[in-house]
Amino acid sequence: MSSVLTIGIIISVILGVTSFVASNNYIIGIIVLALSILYFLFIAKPLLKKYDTKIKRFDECYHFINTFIVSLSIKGTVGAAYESAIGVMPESFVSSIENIEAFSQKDKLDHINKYFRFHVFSLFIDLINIYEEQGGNILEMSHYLLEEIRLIEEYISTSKSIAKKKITEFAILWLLTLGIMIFMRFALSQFFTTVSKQIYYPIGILAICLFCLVSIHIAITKMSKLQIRGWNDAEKI
Amino acid sequence: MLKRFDELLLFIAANKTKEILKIVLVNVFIIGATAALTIFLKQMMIAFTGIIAIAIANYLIFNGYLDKKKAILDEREHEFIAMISYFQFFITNSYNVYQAFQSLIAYSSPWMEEQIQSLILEIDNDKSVKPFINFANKFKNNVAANVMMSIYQMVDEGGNGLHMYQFNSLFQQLSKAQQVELIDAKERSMGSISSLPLIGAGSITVLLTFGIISVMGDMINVL
Repeated sequence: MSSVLTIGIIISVILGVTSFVASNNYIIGIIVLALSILYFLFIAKPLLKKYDTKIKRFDECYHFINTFIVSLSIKGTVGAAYESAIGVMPESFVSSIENIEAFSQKDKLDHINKYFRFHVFSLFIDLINIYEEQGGNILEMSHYLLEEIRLIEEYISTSKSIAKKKITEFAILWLLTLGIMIFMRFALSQFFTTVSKQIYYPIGILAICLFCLVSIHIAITKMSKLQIRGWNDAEKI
Repeated sequence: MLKRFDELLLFIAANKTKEILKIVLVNVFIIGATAALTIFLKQMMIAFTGIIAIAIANYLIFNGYLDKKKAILDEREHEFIAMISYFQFFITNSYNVYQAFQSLIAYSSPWMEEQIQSLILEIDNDKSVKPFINFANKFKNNVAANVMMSIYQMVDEGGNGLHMYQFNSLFQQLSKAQQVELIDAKERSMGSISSLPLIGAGSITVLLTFGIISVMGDMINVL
């Protein structure tokens, strides 16, 4: 997440410097720089953190379910499968369930369900309940659940690669656009001296730089929109 | 026209008074700002820009309602496919159709829950295909009718292997189509951001043109 802030500060400096150079007005430069830093600090960072958490949680959820099912098929008991699944989970996950050691097996899974929130995990709990009540071959019983999880994994990885490609294009195009603004300032210096005295010119530069910030927000919002059933972006993590 | 607008607001669960107030405020703000800037800067170009801004703002507001309605309808279609996927999970794990539908309620949105409850209620009173068709009619996708028919056959003819196979193959098609649609939607959504820097570049051109015109105007005035 600190890398997000670093990139945010770099973008803010680029926008601030560009608006200052293009408008020859330090107030506009400071306004753009301050707004950009505030945006990255208070809006973009939490948004990207949520996106990152959602993806990480789904990976953990997938890993947990997969290990649990494989262990259950080998060891045959839910308790042993649970221990095996917990054993392969990352430290952040293990620390979040430290206080549930005394819980019953069902309550432990219900507690973990609140952590993951995904529908596939609720389905997994239903599967374990069915298995405990009726028995059967867990690998066959979990076929459709694992298929569902695989489809979501595929959707996430494809979405990530699309986002990476499009964000790169977006960044290059904006850099070129901002480059034109600076180029105009030096290549048409005589013209610039005249128009920079007009009131609309610095306002226009300010509007373009703020539009760039708005477009960054649109890009981040679109990138972080991933439809995974059960997960509500509005809920607190 | 007004009735349709009311229906639209009702469908997207928006507060009519709030929305009308929002539209009025936006229009009053743009008109006020345009009038003040036109008088203060004495430039007719600003009044012209204001008229365009009013048209764009109103278009965006009304289009926003339509987009919201479309998003709700699309979400219902996606939820239907998700529910059928969960249904498939329950049905293959020894639940009967009735139990499987009941289990889906825990995974449903309020709207879907209402539809499933009404389907269960209808199944209780009517053993024909009608409740299944009524349920399918709530969705615009024609495949919904095929899926529900397939589920009805499972109920009617005892859920034998053939009907299960039919249902599964139908669901596979639906699931694949949704996956492709979801990825396409992501591609389209992310693709649209490339136009934003172009709008920025266009704005620079407009600013430049405006600058040239005003410089030329000043020169003509001096002459």
